Amino acid sequence: VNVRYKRSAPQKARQIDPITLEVTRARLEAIVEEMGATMLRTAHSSIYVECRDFSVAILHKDGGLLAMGQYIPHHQGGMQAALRSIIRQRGIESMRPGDIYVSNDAYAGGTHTLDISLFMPIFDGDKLICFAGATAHQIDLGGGAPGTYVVGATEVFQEGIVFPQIKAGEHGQFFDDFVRLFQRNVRLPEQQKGDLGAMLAGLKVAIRNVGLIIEEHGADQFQRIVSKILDVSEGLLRDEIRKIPDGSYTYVDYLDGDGIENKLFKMQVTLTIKGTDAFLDFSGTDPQAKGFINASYWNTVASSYSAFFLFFDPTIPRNDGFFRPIHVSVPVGTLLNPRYPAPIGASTTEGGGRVYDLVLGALSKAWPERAFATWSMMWVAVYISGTHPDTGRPYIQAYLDGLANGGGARQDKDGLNACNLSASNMLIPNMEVEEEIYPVRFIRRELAPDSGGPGQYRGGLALETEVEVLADCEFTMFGSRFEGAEPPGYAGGKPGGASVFYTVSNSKKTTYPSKVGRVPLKAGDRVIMRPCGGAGFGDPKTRDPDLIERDLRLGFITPEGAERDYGYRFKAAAE
Amino acid sequence: VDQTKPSIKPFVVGIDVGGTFTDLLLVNEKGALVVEKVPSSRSNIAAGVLGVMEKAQTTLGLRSPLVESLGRLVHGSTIAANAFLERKGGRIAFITTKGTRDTLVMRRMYRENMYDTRSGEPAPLVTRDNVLEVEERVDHKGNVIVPMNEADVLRAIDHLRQRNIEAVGICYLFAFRNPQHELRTRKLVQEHLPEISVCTSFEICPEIRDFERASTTHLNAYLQPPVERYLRELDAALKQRRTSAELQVMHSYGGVTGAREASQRPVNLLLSGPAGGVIGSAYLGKAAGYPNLISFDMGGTSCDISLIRKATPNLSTPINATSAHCKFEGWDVLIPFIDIHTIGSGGGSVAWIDRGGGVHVGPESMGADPGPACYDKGGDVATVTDANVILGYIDPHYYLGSEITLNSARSEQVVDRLAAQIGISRMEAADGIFRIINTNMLNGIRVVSVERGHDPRDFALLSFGGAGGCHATAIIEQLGIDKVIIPPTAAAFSAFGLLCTDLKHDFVTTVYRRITELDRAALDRIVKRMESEGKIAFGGQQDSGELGFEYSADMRYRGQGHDIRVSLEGPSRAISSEKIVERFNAEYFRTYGYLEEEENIQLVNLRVVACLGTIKPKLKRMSLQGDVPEKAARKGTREVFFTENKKYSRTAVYDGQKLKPGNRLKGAAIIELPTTTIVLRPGQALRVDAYGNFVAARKGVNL
Repeated sequence: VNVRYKRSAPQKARQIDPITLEVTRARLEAIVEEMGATMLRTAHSSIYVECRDFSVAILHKDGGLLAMGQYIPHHQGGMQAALRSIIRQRGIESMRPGDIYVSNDAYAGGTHTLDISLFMPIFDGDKLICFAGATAHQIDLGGGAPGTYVVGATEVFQEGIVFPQIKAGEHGQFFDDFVRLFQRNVRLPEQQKGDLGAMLAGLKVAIRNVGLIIEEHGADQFQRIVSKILDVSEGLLRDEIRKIPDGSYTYVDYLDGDGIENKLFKMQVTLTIKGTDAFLDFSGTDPQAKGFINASYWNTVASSYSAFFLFFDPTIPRNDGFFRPIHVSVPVGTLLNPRYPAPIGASTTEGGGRVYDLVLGALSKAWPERAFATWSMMWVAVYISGTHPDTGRPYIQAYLDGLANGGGARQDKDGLNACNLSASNMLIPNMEVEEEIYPVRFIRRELAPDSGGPGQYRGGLALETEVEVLADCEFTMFGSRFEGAEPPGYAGGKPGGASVFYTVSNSKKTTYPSKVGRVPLKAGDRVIMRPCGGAGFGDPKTRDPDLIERDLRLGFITPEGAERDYGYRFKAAAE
Repeated sequence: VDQTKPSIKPFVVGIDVGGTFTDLLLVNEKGALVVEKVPSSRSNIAAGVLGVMEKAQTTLGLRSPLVESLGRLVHGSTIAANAFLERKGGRIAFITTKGTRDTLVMRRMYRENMYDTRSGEPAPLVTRDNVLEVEERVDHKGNVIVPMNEADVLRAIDHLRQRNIEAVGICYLFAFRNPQHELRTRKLVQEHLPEISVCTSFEICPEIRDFERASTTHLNAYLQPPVERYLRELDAALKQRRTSAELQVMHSYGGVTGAREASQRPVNLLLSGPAGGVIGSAYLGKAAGYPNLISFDMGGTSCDISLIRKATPNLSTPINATSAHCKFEGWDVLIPFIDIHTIGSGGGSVAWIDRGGGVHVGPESMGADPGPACYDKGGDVATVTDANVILGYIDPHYYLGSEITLNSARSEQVVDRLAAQIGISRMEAADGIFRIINTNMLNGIRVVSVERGHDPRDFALLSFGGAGGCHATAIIEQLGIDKVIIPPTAAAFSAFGLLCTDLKHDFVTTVYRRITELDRAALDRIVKRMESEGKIAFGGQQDSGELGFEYSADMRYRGQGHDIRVSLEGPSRAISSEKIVERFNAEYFRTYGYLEEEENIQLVNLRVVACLGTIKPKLKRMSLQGDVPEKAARKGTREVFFTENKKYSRTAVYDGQKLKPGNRLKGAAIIELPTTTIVLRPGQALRVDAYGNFVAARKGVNL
């Protein structure tokens, strides 16, 4: 081992070697992990704690995303837009170490009002280098219904309090005025104050630790390293897009109901591939809805990015560089870019959810070798609220069960059962914990047989949940992919099973439209909810009979389903 | 049974079965330590255990068999972890409350990598057709609201018979509040099918959270057949050779239990292998005056990292942790265990380049066979060991005390190939591999420290395992840790740790009430009940020492989903709400830096660990010699690369076995021991302490 090290020329020493790049990237990701872990352990609302409906990131001083945790993908694009709105509004030069900024003004940047974003700048001396950010879905922000999903809202004003690019604190502490204003406008003030504290705790983790990396390399070199990290991601995504033949691919899908009009809304995207760039044009989409299913423009952009996250090589670091080859255009006044002050309360899982499906559908058309059948980004959301008879306190219970839809079937395997597309880190809560906190009893929570779309590869099964409410209360429900709007199959595969929702009172079954707000329930009533199944891939007639028999044995399909969907005769009698 | 009477048999033996070697550490009547190693046999683990004892017997020149002169025999084993990882558990079924059969299938919707939309589900341990439902229901207060339908149980039993099931787990909703249905079901299964192993969630982990409890219970059932078989065979072989000591097995929370108990709760053995090293670290730390440690065990394929505070290992439950180590492919384990973070970084870890030109190291490893390229056994990719050979850290002619000669030309060949791909020099590539693996391990250390609210700079690093000495000294510079300690028994340190354990049983009661709602009497009742269960559990087990109890509480603010564990010191009569609140406030503030209203503090679980003390190895304090090592300790010099200098420089090499307590060295220097090499970096200092430990200090820190 006699190799002598040759001293590099001074200018070469400023270049960034692949090792430093990898080391820095890994450290930034570890910090983001730690931010998430801190929020998770300190938060109060089960929508954070059990369901992890929040995201954390480190962002560049221009607002671009540097590193993010594996939480909610569309939060990331939304967070970037929210931060840029704050920078535009207030200017970098006005910011000081320890400042806290808040925004949930989705029309200026973000997703929907319910997702609140907090940011703190990270400084090197008196120079602002980057930001720490966190976005979290609030359990309530006031407005026209507990949980602030307001079915029937016609303006964003009915959908909770908006903080437009506000300075919320200094020296690492919230202003009392901000906290008082916040608490006075939400339905669960104590619990939600704790949630805000958790977000702040997460940001502080980043300030401390990113500071150490900046110190180690110096601010200028740190800037060079992070811009190189972004360039690498951009290059990797461009390499992937290059594999898709140039051309235009149009995809159409439908959204059922807006809470005011019970009709199908048409949504359309045309994906154009030119070399290593991808252009998304949402022309052809219906005009904006009267009800709250509209996606804010920034939500449409963020969900488009997210679809790219989910389609391409999972090992490419997800950051602002990844976004550069993606170009989004949405006509103003449509469901995916409504005019202020149209309601946007259900933006993320309704209009914005369908953006995932549209873009993934178009990508699957463009690149059949990587295609998968519809794995819908949707939620049959159920909010039950009232006063807990044991404590006399108000409660709001958000059911995440309706997120556990079936995964779309893939090229070579069945879809995943009860598995949300965009929320891998979201967990459905334990039944025992729910019963401990809320006056409710779980009767069953099981996979619905035959709900997976038939195909050579079958879509995943959806989760069906039945609960009994133990006290008088009310519910709000909104969802999509009900009968008539099932997730479409791919290459001859059949649609996944439709969403289901009904209540049972004294053995009387009641069904509802796709969105319904503030319906009273009596103690003893039952609520049954189920999101859609995954769509099938390929002709069901070509499915391997061994797989059909396995599905029968495991109860994933019924004998009737086997015969109806696959033309398969159950041989139970012969056995 | 006189439990205080010391054992009369002279030899105390710990045997740790690893993937590559089976290590034995023996303490004789004078307290001297003997280390022995034989290659592990995958097909016949018990033979390795007996083999290493025979080898030790020869070394010691004993006339009568060692097995007949044992005062204590403690075993650490990876059998449970391997049975899970290799899917070699039993054919199992699972019985659960009607309507909840898919709890295990869904894993609460967990997915390993959100962006990977094309991967499949992990192979289930129990197939859906073997999940059997029984009509029954208990509510959250423990009231039976639907009586159990025994016809359903009998139907399930028929199914078990038809399917030739080997083991069954039973988990009903709220059984931790009222176990009567689980116990009745177990009784019926045992009556009808006495040959089947049965476990209930109430016995395994009586805690709230239906998914995690079901997961733990089914994992236990899955591991029961192979673990039972193995321990039965080993126990029989020992008895046949007239062993004088009952076999004790290390479990994941740092104590030992008898073989019978261990076979009934194999889920407790998942970390049986690495737990020994952590307990040994804590013990050594206490004796030698390093109470706050991060133990760092870097071997051939993986690196186990754990945090020790006030000489006590950090315990964790998956609910507290968010890192992947506590999830066994998404199936959580809801029992306390030592918070060990395992990452795929070892000497055999492979360096590779992704499509974007990014360099990565691990988690894939070449292990010991074929091993790194320099082993010359067919390994054809660059590994960490190859990089260390090129950097001059490892002497190819003195590896494992010259048992193996390495081929450095092969290392150069594979690292050159990697370097050419990204257009850098051999040396830059080797140094890059070294730095990347260090970053991976540094992030691993952050998980057990920073992520749990501890500043790593308040701790010393305790490094053992073959590869640790090369890397630990570089890692302390990056983390700002002052000292790294490398014990002289580093080679068989896990086996040493086995002998530092007490006999332990743990008990838990889910309370789930606001602290203000609990009076002294209620707390007292709960604690007393668990204490008496502890006394029963030790009935009949022989060992020296007194029965003691440790108390802790899992707590949070009402509405939070994650608990922190607070240890409650002192006798049980001192446990009061005020005391619990005081401890919670201190711990919560230390971790998160703020407090909320006291009336919102909730007590989730109360825990009692019953411990029976044992005889442990005594660390001998030696008299300090002079600062300057003997001449004979210096072996010579060689060219060694240091990132700090950006070049190779001629560096002194010492024989670690010839360094004496009190001796001091200045870096840069290489200290070679038969099973590990310590790389003292430029500006660092090293001193041998009174216990023979090698203590290296970060640049600028005085020893």
